[in-house]
Amino acid sequence: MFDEAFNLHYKALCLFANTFLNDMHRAEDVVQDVFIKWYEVLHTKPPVSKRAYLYRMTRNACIDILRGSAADRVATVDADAVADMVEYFFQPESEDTALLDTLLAAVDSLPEKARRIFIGICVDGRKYQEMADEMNISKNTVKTQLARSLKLLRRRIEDRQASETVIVAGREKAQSVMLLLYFISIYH
Amino acid sequence: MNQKIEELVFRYLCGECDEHERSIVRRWIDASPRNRNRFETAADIVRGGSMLKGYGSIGKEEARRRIMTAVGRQVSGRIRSRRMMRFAAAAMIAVCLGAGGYFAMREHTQTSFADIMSGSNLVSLTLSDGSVVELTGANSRLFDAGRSIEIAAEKNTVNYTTAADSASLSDTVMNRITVPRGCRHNITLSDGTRVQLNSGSELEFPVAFGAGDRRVRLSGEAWFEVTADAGRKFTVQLDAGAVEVTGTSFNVSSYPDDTFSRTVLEKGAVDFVDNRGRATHIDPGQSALFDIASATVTVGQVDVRLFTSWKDGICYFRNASLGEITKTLGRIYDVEFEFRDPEIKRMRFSGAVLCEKPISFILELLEQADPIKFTLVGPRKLTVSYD
Repeated sequence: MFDEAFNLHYKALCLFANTFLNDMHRAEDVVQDVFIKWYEVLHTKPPVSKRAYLYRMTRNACIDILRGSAADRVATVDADAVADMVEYFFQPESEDTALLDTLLAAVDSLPEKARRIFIGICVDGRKYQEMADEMNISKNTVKTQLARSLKLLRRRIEDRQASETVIVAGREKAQSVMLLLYFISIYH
Repeated sequence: MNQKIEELVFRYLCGECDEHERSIVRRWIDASPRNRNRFETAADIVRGGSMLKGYGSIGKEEARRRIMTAVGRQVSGRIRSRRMMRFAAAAMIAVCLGAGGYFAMREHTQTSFADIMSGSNLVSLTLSDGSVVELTGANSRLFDAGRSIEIAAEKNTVNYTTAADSASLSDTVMNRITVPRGCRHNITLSDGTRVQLNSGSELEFPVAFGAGDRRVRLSGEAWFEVTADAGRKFTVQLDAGAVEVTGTSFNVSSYPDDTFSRTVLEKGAVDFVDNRGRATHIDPGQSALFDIASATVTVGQVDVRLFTSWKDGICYFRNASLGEITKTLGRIYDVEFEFRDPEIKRMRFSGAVLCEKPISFILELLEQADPIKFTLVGPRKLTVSYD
């Protein structure tokens, strides 16, 4: 159960913490400490809501750090706008898979070159030509790869949107196989 | 949604379009609510980019090690728990729902895979004199070793029984059953041990078991229900190691084109013995994975159903690469895949293959989930390329 939660949530929690701290190194330290503390809690009094609990612990730890050093504080105006976005992507109060979880899993599943291009351009904000030069490929290849990656990511997210309503309806069914066949019989 | 529009929308969201291109995009958005939906999803992705800052430098495996050291516990290759099955179900449904949308959303005609005929391979038995008998599925009776061994063939299975006077029969008289790709078959050995063989497998076995240990040789994948007999150890010899049991049910996978062999135990007890004779014991619910290159055995808790569902005609895959998936599909349906762009092999999917459905079913689901395309180029050959 612990490994399962770690595999599912570690990366997303690090990104979440990083929105507060803007320092991935420290963000990872925070999240690792959260998991260590959580492991101990698991054995004494397991919390009912796993995901929300982990997010709350992480947020609290980040806020403690921010209170400590005034230099890291983000201006209040920006903080509100960012908070809304963070809320929208991470859904820290929810037990369900959030948009960012789906996006993250989809990015993880990209082939290595495509992922590198996506991160370079969409996350680090670099220019097409920069990526082309660095990876020794043509600017056109960069554009094509990016378009394909976006298509893949978009499809994965759309699948998730479609499956959301379906999962709620199917939660009572015990066997996953039954669930699978049930929906196949409707759609095929 | 074709590639040009995909690119335009993205550049629009990054503020890199001129007025003309912007109006194209706006017109496309207004054209239908589905386009608007796709636009909003694309916007989510672009904005999501800022949420992914620092993604590249996350060191998940080091983190795992550090955490495990801190809580003072050994890392084990852990678990397919019931929760995971539900998560896998969610991913599977995501893949399957694509089929519903497929018929409504497809924008251009689709190559029909119905042209791949269901396999015409036959299971065959090689008798002790070297003669080969093809099993057509009709009920029939054969004999071997004089008339001391009776072989009854039915639709999906073959049963071996020893006649009363076979006590003197040496256990070196071997037969072989060959199950080609596209087929599955069952066999009951003369001691009552039942074996289910998966596609692309071969089992070599003595027609009668003597007083000593029982040895068979397997290439491929099979599920065994071994008749309990503490006095006669049962050994399955593989190219990559061997499995030793006294009486139990387990699944072994050891294909010639795999880099590993895997033994999964449902009931009883087995020892997996590697090529150097070192034995690893596993308990029910555990799997022993033998990596040939490094000659190491990894034991882990697994959900046995994940590895034995093939017997019921369902092959699960969880976060498997497209390379692995097409390898399995090749065995199930006896087709070959050629990748136009090797990068595609590394795309990952979770889902299930229903073996009784034609191959077009799973291929269409995969195409719907991600922008890849399968093209039929020969009677049993497909290419995989980006869409």
